[in-house]
Amino acid sequence: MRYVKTVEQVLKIMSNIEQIRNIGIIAHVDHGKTTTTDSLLAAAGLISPRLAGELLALDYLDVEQRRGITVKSANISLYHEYEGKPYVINLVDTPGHVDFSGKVTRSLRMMDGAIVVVDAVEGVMTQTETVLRQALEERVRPLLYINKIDRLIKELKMSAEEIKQRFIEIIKEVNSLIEMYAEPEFKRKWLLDPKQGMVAFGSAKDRIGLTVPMSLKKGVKIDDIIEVYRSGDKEALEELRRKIPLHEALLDMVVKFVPNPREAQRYRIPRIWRGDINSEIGRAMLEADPNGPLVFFVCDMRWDPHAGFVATGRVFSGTLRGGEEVYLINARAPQKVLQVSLYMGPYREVVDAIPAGNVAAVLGLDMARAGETVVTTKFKDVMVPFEKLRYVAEPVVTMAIEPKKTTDLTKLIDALKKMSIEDPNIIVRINEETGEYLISGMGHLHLEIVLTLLKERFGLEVETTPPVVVYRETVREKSKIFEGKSPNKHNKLYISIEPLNEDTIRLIQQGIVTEDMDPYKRARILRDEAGWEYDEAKRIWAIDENINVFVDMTSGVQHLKEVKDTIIQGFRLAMREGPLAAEPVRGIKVILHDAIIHEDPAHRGPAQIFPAVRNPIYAAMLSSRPTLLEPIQKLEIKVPLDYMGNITAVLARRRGRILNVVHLVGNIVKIIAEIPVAESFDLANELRSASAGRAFWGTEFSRWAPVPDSMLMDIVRKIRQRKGLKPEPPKPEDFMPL
Amino acid sequence: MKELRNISPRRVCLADSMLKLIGLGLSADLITLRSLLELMKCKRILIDSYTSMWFPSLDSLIDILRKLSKHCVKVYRESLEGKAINEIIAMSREEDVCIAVAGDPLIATTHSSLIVEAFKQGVEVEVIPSTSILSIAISLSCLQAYRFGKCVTLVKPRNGIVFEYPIYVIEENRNRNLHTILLLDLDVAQGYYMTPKEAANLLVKLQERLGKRVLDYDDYLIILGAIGSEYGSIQVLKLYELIEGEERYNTPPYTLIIPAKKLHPMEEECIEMLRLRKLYFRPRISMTDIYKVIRVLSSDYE
Repeated sequence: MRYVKTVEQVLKIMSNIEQIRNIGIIAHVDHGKTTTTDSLLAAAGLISPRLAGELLALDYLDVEQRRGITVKSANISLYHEYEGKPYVINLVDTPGHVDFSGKVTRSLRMMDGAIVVVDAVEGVMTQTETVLRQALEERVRPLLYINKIDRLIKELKMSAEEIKQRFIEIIKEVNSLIEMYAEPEFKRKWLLDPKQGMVAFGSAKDRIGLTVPMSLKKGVKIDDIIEVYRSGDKEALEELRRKIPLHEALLDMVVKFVPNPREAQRYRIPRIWRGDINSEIGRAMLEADPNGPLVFFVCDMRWDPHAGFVATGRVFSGTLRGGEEVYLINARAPQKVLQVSLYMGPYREVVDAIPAGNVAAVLGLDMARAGETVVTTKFKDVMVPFEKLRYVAEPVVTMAIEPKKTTDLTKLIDALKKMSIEDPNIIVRINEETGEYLISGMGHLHLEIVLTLLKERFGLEVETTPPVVVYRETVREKSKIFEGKSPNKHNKLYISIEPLNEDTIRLIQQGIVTEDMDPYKRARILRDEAGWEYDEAKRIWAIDENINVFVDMTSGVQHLKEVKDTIIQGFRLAMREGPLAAEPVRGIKVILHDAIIHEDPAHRGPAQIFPAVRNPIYAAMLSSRPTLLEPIQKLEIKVPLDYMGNITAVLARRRGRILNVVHLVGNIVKIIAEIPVAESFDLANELRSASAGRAFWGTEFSRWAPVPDSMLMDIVRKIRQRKGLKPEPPKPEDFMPL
Repeated sequence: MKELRNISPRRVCLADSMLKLIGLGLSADLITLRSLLELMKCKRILIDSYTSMWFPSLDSLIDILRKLSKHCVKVYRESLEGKAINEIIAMSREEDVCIAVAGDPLIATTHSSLIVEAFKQGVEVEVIPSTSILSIAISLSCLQAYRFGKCVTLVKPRNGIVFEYPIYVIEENRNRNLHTILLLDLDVAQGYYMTPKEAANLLVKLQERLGKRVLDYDDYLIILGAIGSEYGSIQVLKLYELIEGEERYNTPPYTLIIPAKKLHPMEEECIEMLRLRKLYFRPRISMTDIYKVIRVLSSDYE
C-alpha cells in the first residue's frame, strides 16, 4: 500500500512549488547511470529495494536490457524528505547511449539540475564532457556523484590517501569544465564545493553514498567505507547501506542545491524561450504561476499500445487538466487533453491536474511532436513557441525497407511513423522515383535497433537494402561572382559562394545562431564569435537545416523584396541536392550581390527564379574545389591488452585513426579512435572476432570530414550511379548561361 | 522573288535563313493574313502552347498546318527558354524557324530573350506583330486608350509566396487617375486559370494584408473573358457583385480592367451602358475558312 500512499503524497506536494525539484542524471556510458537511477527508485518505494542494481527499471525495453544500454528516456516522480519537509523530485531520464544525443539535449530542458555520474576509476570521459557542456548551455545546474569507489579499493588497491587524491582530481576536472562552459553569472555559484555537500561519493551497486555534511551528521567517514570494502565484510556493508543510503546522499544534495522550478524558471526562461518575458505569458512562466495561462513543453512522444501517444513534458506555467481544450503551436491545431498523469517508475498514474513546474504525461495530444509547445487556446496567437530544438546529431545512414509479407506494408508504414515520432532522429522518407521507404538514422547500430524494435514491438519482419552512408557536399574555396539567368532571361541574379568558417558552423549547429532569431542579435554573435562583418551578418536572409547561409548584399534592387521568398525557396532546394552527387550541401555561404528582376510577377514566378538561384550556386560550387564530407564516428573500445594489436589492425584496414589509448584497471586498455561511418559497416562482427569476443565498444557521431581526395571521384561516381545519374559530375559551364 | 527560295530546299541559302516570331492574334478572327502566309511558308514551326490560349484551339490550327505537311510542334516552356534558346538559334541557321505565339509575341508574353540571343549570334530575326489582349482589352473597355497606366499580372499565391506587387501597381495608377489592365494568372499546362471572382477575393485579401484601401466594394471592374471565342464576354460589375456572385464565367482566360477613380464623362456613360447593354464581338471565321485561305495563299506561291 506504500505505493498508493506515495501517489497521494506526491500529488499534495506537487502543488507547492518550493517543494519540487526537476533533475536528471547524466553520465558517460557504463559509468552507472542506470544503477544510480534504480537505487533512487528503490528508495521511492516503487520497486522492490532488493532488486535495485540488478533490475534496470528505466530500461524497460527488452532490446535495451539485452544490449545493456538505455535507448528511450523515461521519467519518474520521487518522494523525498529533507529536514522533516517532504519534496517531489521529478527525475527525467536521459539516454546514456551516445548515438542518440539529440534526446539528451531535449531532456535537458525539462530539468533544472543534473547529477553528473563519474566512474571513480575512469574519471571524466568524452561523453561526460559533451553532456555537461550541453547542460551548462541550457543553464542546468550540475552536481557531482563519484560512483564505483569500491573499484578504487578492490581493483586498484589504492590507499586512503590515494583515494582522496583521486576524488580531488575528479572534482577539479569537473570544475574546470564548469569554469570553461558555464556563463559568468553562474560560474562561481555552481563550482562544486564538496564541503557544502555538492559532491557525493559512493557505489550505486551497493547503494551507499556519502557527502561531507552527511558524514558529519552520521559520523561515517570515507575511511570507514574504505575499511568496509577492504575487509570485504558483508554485514558491515549492509550496516553502511542502512546508515548512508545512496538515495539520501543524492536527494539531499538535490533538494539543497537544485533550485525549485520557480527560482529556476526565472533565469532559465530568458535562455530557453525567445518570447517577450514582460508579456503575460512571459511573466507567468518566469514565476511558474499555476494560475497563469497553460504552457506545456513536450519533450518526448512515445507510443503506448494501450493508451496511444503519450506526450511527456514540463508544465512551465498554468495547470494541466484532463478534458481541457489546448492549442498546439507548431502543429497549428487545437486538441483536447484526454488524461493527465504523472510517472511512477514505468507506470503512469492518472491524476486530475498537474500544476506549473512539474513534469507531466498527457494523453490526447497525438498531433504533438517532441519539441511542441502547448498553450491555452486563448493565447494561441500571441504565444511564441520554444526555440526550435537543436539536434547535435544528424542522420548519416540510410536504407530502404520493405515488409517480408507485402500485406504488412500498411502496418510497417504505421510502425515507422510511430517510431519516427518517438525518435526524431529516425527519418522516414519515400523515394519518389522507386516508391521505396527509406529510413535514416544516426549510425549502423541505430538502424539495427530500429529493426529489432520493429520485430519485437510490432511483430514485423522486414527486408532491407544494405545501409547507405549519407554524404554532404561542400567547397574549399571562395568563388567569383556567377551570373544566373532565369529561363526567360528577364531575371538575373549575381551570386558567389564561399565555405562557412568552423565557428559559424558550430554556432548554427548548436542552435546559438538560428534563422528565426532577432537579426541584430544574430549579427552581433556572428561578428563577435565567428569573425563576420557586422553589415554582412545582419543581411542574412536564410539559414537552412544543413547549415548553409544565404546573404543578401544587394542594395536598391527593384522588386527584389517581392521575390525574396522565392529566392529563399530556390536556395533551400539547391542546398538539398548539390551538383556533385546530389547529396545535401553543408557549410556554404551563398551571397547575392546584385539582381535584375522583371517588372511583372508573371515573369518572375518560381519556374523562373529557382533556376536563376540554383545555376549560379552550382556553377560556383563546382569551380570552388568541391568535395564530399563523410560522417566520422568516434569509437571507444575496451579490450584486453593482448588483443590490442588485432583491433588496431582492424581499424587501420578501415581508414580508422587512433586518437588515444588509456590503460585501465587490470589488463584492459581503452582505445579511442575515429572511423568513417562508411567503413564501419559490419564492424561489430569484425571487432568481435578480432578479440575473441572480448572487446566492448560504444560509438558516437563525431564530425563531418572531407573524404580523401584520392577517393573523391570514385565515391562521387558510385553515388551518382546508385541514383541513376550519369557517372561523371557536371562541369561549371553546364550551369552557366549562354 | 526572295520568298520563292523555299520552293526547292537545294536553293536555300544558309545565310538567308532566319528566326521568325509570328503573332497569331487571339483567335481565328484576329490572325493576320501575313501571319498565315508566314506559317504557310515556314517548314519548321514551334507553337508556344504555354503562355496563353488561342481560339477556337491551337490544336485545330496545328492540324491544318500538319495537313500541309509542315513540321509543326507544340512546345512548352523548357523548349523556348533557357538552354533551349541555343538549340533554336542553331536550328535557324539551317532553315527558317518560326515561333508562333498566341497574341503578340512581344507584348504580354515576352519572348524578347530569343531575339536578343539571335542578334548576338548573328542570326536574322523577323517579327510579325499581331493583336494582343492589351490592345483588345482597351478597345472593348469603353475607356480611353490615353489613360491607361502600368499593366500587371495577378499571380496565384503558390508555396506560400504571395506577390503583393499588383496592389502597388493599381494604387499607383489610381493615384495618378489612370486605368489598370490586370492580367489574370494562368497555367495552361496545369489547366489553371484564375477566375475573376478569385482575383477579386485575392485583391481584397492583399489590400487588407497591406493595410491599404486601394479598391472599394463599390468600384467598377470590367471583366473580359475568352475574347475571340464564341463565349467571349465583356461585363462591368462592382467589386462586391463579383465577390458575392457566382463564378459566372466558364471560359478562360480572363482579363480585368480596373478603371481610374475619376472617369471622363464619356467613359462613365459608356460603362454605365455596358452594365445594361451588350457589346458584341462574335467570331465569324471558322477553321475551315482559315484552311481555305491558307490553300489559296499556298497555291499562289506554289
